[in-house]
Amino acid sequence: MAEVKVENVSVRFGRNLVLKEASFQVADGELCVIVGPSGCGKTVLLRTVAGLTRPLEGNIYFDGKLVNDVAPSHRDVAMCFQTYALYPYMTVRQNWEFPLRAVNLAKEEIQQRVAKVMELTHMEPLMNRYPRELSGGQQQRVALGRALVRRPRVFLLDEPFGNLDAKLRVELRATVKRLQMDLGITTLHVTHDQVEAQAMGDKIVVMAMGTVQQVGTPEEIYEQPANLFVAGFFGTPRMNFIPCELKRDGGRLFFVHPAFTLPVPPHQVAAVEAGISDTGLILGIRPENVSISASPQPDAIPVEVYVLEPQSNELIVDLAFGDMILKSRADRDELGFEPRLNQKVYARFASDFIHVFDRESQLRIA
Amino acid sequence: MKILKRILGIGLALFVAALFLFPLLWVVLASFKTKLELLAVPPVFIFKPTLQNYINAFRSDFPMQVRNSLIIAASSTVISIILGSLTAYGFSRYSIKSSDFLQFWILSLRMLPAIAVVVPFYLVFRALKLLDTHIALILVYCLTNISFAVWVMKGFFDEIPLELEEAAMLDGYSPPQVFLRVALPLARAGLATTTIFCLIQSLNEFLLAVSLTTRVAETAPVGLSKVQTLMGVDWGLLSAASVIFMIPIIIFTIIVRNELVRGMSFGRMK
Amino acid sequence: MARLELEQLDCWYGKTHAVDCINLVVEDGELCVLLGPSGCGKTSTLRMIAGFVQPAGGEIYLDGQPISHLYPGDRNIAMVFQSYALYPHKTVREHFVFPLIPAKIPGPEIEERVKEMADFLDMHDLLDRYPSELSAGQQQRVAIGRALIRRPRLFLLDEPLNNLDEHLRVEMRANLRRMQQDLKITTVYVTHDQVEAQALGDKIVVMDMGHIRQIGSPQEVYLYPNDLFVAGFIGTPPMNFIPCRLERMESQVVLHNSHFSLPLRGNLVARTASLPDGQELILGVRPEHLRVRSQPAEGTMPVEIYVLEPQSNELILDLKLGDLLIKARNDKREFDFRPEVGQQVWVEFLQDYVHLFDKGTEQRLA
Repeated sequence: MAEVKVENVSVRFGRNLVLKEASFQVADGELCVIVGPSGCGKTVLLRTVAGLTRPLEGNIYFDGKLVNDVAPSHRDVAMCFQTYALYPYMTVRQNWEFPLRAVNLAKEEIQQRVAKVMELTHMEPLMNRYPRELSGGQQQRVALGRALVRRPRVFLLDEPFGNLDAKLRVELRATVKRLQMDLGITTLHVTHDQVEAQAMGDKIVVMAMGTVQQVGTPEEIYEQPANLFVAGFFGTPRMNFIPCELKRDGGRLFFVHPAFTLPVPPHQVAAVEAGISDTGLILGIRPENVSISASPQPDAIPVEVYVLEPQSNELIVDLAFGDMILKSRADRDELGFEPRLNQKVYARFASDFIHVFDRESQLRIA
Repeated sequence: MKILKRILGIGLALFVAALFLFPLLWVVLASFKTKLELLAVPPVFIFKPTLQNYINAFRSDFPMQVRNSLIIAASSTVISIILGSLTAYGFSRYSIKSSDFLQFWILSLRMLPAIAVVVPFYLVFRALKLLDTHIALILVYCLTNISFAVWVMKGFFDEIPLELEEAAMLDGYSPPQVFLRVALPLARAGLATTTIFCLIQSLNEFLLAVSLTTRVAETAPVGLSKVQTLMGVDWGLLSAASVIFMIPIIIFTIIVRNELVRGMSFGRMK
Repeated sequence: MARLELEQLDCWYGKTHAVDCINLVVEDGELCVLLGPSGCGKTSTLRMIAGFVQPAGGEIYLDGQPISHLYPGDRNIAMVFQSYALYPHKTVREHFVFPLIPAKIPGPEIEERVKEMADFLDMHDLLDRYPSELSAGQQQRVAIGRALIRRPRLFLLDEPLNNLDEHLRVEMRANLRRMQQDLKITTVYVTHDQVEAQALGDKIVVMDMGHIRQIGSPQEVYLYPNDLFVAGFIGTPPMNFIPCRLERMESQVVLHNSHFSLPLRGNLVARTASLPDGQELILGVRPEHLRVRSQPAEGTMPVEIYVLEPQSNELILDLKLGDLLIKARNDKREFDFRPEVGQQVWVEFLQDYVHLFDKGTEQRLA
């Protein structure tokens, strides 16, 4: 059990600064997901916490104690790799006992711990199998189990579901989340998958190009993205971005685009006025906050149905206006009509869910 | 620290290079020396170069022997490359009955020690009245070169994604066109590697050449060996002949060096 | 433009029956998706249509003409491969020209077609680049261009979006769909991704172990799955399956198992009218067709919240029903309370969307 603090950590590989002044904190027992596209520095960050990579600058604390100079083997962390790294010539039981023998635990203690993990991971019928006799999902559970029997202070997972198919991933992420909660081990989980990050994280650290973009709960990240990158990275289909200008007309503020003019929602007026610069702004609206109707509505934009993409109980509709495509996503039941290809329809933005970003700095204004 | 490491590395590389290049340098220097300078102790490195050795070499049988060597090596290489890459492509792309067995059998030809087959070859070619002809040596060298070419080219063809050829098939190209226009260009590095190795192998071969030729089709290695048997050894002449003999291979290697580097790292595409 | 017909098409790889006598019709201008897990026979089917694999039996008809004896290049079929199959030593222009040479198209027309294709794909500035100088999305456009430039009768795509990241994939699939509809070209599209299949297909063919499990529109396979396999394969998170038995009491029909007794209501009563008393069933209900409430109501059953997984505007709840785990997926705004792990809540199955399958044959009963 430990609280992990990462303070201004930078890492350099050759001439490249692959991690720039990363700072965040993980509370005791928390599951923190580090997420970003490939090459964003997330794995380097994890390896730095494990002690496998030396930071150029900055400090890492476990429970307030500086561990920069503590060797990986003495940090009491367990790491689970994407490739599982199981010993092929050992059974499941032997794989689990192996790390415990290394620290000279008493025989009863070893058996007790293995039994506990066996129960948690539901591996009982498979204890005497060899890794090659197990399915991908089972191997994954063995790898997790091997990290867990040691009862580490910090648990590090590097893309643990990377090699599994979509169905199994959905199943295992819930299993792992519950397991982590029951054990209360502070966990850092690295993934490139925003769906997984939202589903699993108590806290999400979003990374891009070696820097931390935002730290927050899944709700904060989704509802109040700090910048254009975070806004575009979470959610599928991604948020629609529309470059706009701001205009004042008779005391009211408007978003102006060649194809439409929309009043700035009252709750955002103050923030937009305070945050605006000369460079213009980008209006962000998520597909589920774009509603379409067959007849004109107040503040609705006339658009044309460009592509229809059914998705389970929902319908994703690509709408063309000007030279832009706007995506909307809605429950079929709520739609009220069956859109046809090339049909003229009207799109309306839910005013409570409009995001405003500065075009130059790409930061959130309101 | 880093600079020191670098200097050490460069130093080591230079040392190894010098170690390998010294004999070569020695031969080149020797080819420009007079007999007296050649035998001087300690050896002289600064002297007035003479072309006498080269003149002697060109007046002997040596130019004819080099010509023989080049004709035999080039013919055997061309034949081996054509037959070898076609065979390799077949093994790589089509399911052939007992393909593994056939491949082993082809490769095993290359493992055959030359000394074991010298006498049978001699008898066969005598019966065919082909002793001391280019054809005899071309055929014999093809034997080892084809098996080598099949082995190397199959590796390169296996590396080419099947989809690249299937795409061309759908475009309307026939199987021979797909081979010529897609597979071969993509296996260029393999062709270069195979060519160089076949050439070197054929140019260097001595045992079979010395047994199957007497005068007309005599190759350069055989000729060089005979220099030694005349009244002592004319080291100057020998060196000059060696230098002349090295030149074609060096030129060819320079021409295809880019492909060769890729070929040695075994066709990593892109 | 053509109509494709597969008749009793059969394929063996050694002792594996890769495709087992399938029948399929793809109408002129239709986009048909072959969907299934790896090894289901979808790619073998595509390769038989292209002519790379000789069928062991059956025939392929294109516009009524048998084509299985023809060389791939004589079928006038184009294909986009998963790896794009671009030649590293040819420029974009050379890729476009390459398929026109065997067709013996005169020089001026070649120029014209290349220009037309470059217009269509917006690739004018890239014509002299090599594949290694293009982004993944651009490489994919080259692959499409070189396939379509011959104006083929049939367009085949083999998992063309696999190598792209999530956001690009969503963007490209909409582009592909629109392009196919504009060109009205008969298309067969292979994928293992059910999200993609639903979004793209006019018709989805679900395959498993060499058999066709179901052919239908995206809505048909989603709403009326033929069997357990199709039901579990379409939709994410996957459908919940609960074993139970049908029992007829005096006036009502009840689904019964050790955890609940569910009296049937609405159209489900009529749908089960022909089923005998005591029939062993698998109840299937999708996560989006569960409603979670903080208070008991008619038709609800008590469950415990086991894991919470936020997902964009939705919340996925793993609920513990006895020793079963079931998943619910609902819009966050639909909750009248804040769910916590460990909390006791009540779940209702929307019975109009409940599916019943035979426990033995796994076929849909109602």
